[in-house]
Order: sequence, then structure tokens, then C-alpha cells
Amino acid sequence: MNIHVEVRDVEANPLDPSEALGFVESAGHGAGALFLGAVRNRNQGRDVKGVSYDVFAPLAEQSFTEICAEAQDKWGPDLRLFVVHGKGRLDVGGLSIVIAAGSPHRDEAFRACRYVIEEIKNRSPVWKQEHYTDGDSEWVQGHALCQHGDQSHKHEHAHG
Amino acid sequence: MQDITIQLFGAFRPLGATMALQVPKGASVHDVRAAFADNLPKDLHDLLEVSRFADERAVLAENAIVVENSKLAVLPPVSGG
Repeated sequence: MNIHVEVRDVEANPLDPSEALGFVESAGHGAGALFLGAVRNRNQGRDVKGVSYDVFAPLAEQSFTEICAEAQDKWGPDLRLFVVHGKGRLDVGGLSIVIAAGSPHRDEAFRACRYVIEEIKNRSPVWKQEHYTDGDSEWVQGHALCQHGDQSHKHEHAHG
Repeated sequence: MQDITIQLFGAFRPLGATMALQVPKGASVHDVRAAFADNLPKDLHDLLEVSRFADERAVLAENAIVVENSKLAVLPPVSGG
């Protein structure tokens, strides 16, 4: 299997970039690309101290699998992909998502890595609650899921 | 009537992890949405307008029929990554 997707409790098991790069390595691959998503200390003018991630895990993993399969359709079956999204609370600097793509050449690896993160942001059932230094917390306004039953790549359109 | 369960996520979480609903036999997702709205505080109605219902495999069309003991999820706009 050349795709690994997972939702992981990051409070018990922090995400590990080296695990991702190890998974996508292959003797025939000259390129590996890595994307890390981390909690930053400021959003829309407010000081953030942490973020809680809520995930509908079965459907999230299903969406990651579909997105990775789409990437292989676009950039070839040799592409190896690793996607783990965190669930639970993270402090500033904590890793919320790790994506790695391995391929024979760099262009496919970069493009696939970018494609996977952008599609996850638009399509996967994950919600972020920011915790601010003033003690307040708020759910981040996100992307409304498409108003049709099929979330697949067959629908090419802009997301908000 | 039939029993179904709605799993709550994101900004619906303050209402609990799940909500039990009774809907008529042969009800569609659209009917589930209406029954769910009846149990929702007014300040969450706008969020429901932009939310979708799903099962563990896919986001459901509004005319999909739900069966007895279905466990659905209500999905507000997403903000992962």
C-alpha cells in the first residue's frame, strides 16, 4: 500500500515528520516533499494560545483516501502519500497535520503535497476551535461543504 | 416513527456529542434537517443553513432516505489543516 491516512489523538501521540518521510521513501524515488501545519500564535488580530481540533474521523479518513487517490490519478501511481491529521488540543507550535509525498521527480512531489493540503482544507470534516490568551474560545469559520452529495474532484469549482 | 442519532461537531458541540431524534419512516435528510432544527437554539439556525449531513462514508444528498437507527453526523463549514 503506497498511501497512509490517519486521524490521530495528538495529545497522546504527537505528529512526527520523520515518520511521514520514512513512509514515502522508495528506491525509485528521487524526491520527497513535506508539508507541516502548526498552530500559530495570532489569527485575525487575536493572540492565540492553543487550538482544539474536532474531527469526524471515519469520514475524514475516507476523504483523505479519496484525495490521495485523486493525486495518484493526476501524478502517477508511483506517488507515495502519507497524511495524518491531529485530533485534540495543541499549544502554539504544535503540529496539527503532516503530509508527505514521495515520487520519482520533484515536480510531482511538490504538486501532490500542495493538492492534498488544499483539498483537505476544503473538503475534510475537521473543525478548529481557537483558544485566546484572554480566556475566550471560538470555533473558526470555515468552508461550507459543497451543496451536492458528491464531494469528489469531478466537480471543478471555487470554494469560499 | 423511527429513531436516529445525530453526531454533533464543531460549533454544534456545546449541545453534546450526539442528539437523538425521531423522524417518520421514509424520512429524507431534508426531513432530518427540519427535525434537528426544531431542537436547536435559534442562534445556531444560521449555522445549520450552511451545514451538511453525512454518514461515515459520504456527505448525503438532501433527498437521501434515512433508515431506522441511522447514525448521521451534522457537518458545519470545515476548517481543517
